[in-house]
Amino acid sequence: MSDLLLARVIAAAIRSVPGVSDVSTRIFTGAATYGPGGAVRGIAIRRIAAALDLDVHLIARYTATATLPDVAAAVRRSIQQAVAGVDAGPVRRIDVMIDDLDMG
Amino acid sequence: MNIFNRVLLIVLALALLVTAVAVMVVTLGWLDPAQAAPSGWFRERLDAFAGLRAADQRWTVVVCLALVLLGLLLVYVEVRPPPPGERRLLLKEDGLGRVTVAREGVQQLARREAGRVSGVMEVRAKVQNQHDGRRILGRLSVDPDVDLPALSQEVQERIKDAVEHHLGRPVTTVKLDTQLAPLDSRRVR
Repeated sequence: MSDLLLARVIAAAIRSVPGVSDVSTRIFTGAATYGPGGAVRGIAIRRIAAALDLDVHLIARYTATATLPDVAAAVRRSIQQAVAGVDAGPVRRIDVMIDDLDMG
Repeated sequence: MNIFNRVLLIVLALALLVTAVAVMVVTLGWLDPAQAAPSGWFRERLDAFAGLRAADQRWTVVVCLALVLLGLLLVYVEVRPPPPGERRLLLKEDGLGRVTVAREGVQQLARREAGRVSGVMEVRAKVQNQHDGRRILGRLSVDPDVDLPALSQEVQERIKDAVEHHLGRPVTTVKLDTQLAPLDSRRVR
């Protein structure tokens, strides 16, 4: 699987988490995955000895109940499941960067 | 400084660098003005520096070196990324990596909580990292009719509770300056 396709899978996994408003696509984050026919901003993929190191930037949704560490943990779980689902290799590291809070 | 001013300053600093280097190499006789300048207008300006007397040459080189250093310093200051600690707060670090949040997001949360208290007209807030937790400094503009001590306490508690809850980390201090007049453009110190 190409990195671009994998980044799209990861982006969908991040968006599926209830406490997430969206993947952060700010150009100054510097994180993006490029490939033929497109790019996914906010997600950087590095392959190190067949394992994956991921940087994910997101915008969290403000809710009275969910804490940001809880949202980040849910994002990590969702990404791990999604990556395992497409058999893209083991995930070694997921750095979650919450770039903004969507106050709704 | 906003991005437009920053880009403008970088362009000016690069122009300063190029000009100072061109003047210096022409003054030292390393290049002819025709070699150093791409355009006729610039070449005419450089002609004045070719064949200077020794004393003038020395002063010109000294000034050019100072301008080159200034240009380099300006470019460095503007393009260097701020240290991660300035922009982001670490929420968690474990075997799977780091979880960080943009400082501005937390400040926005603090402003929102303060702004929800009745009688608060304007809010500015700044979050600082300390070894034992976060420190929040804020400035409030409030309605003159409110009970100031009660309002300040309520705002402090709301900010502390909200930030601690959402970040899952302790807030050590919430320090607020309260005033009746509208907030001016000065930053929170």
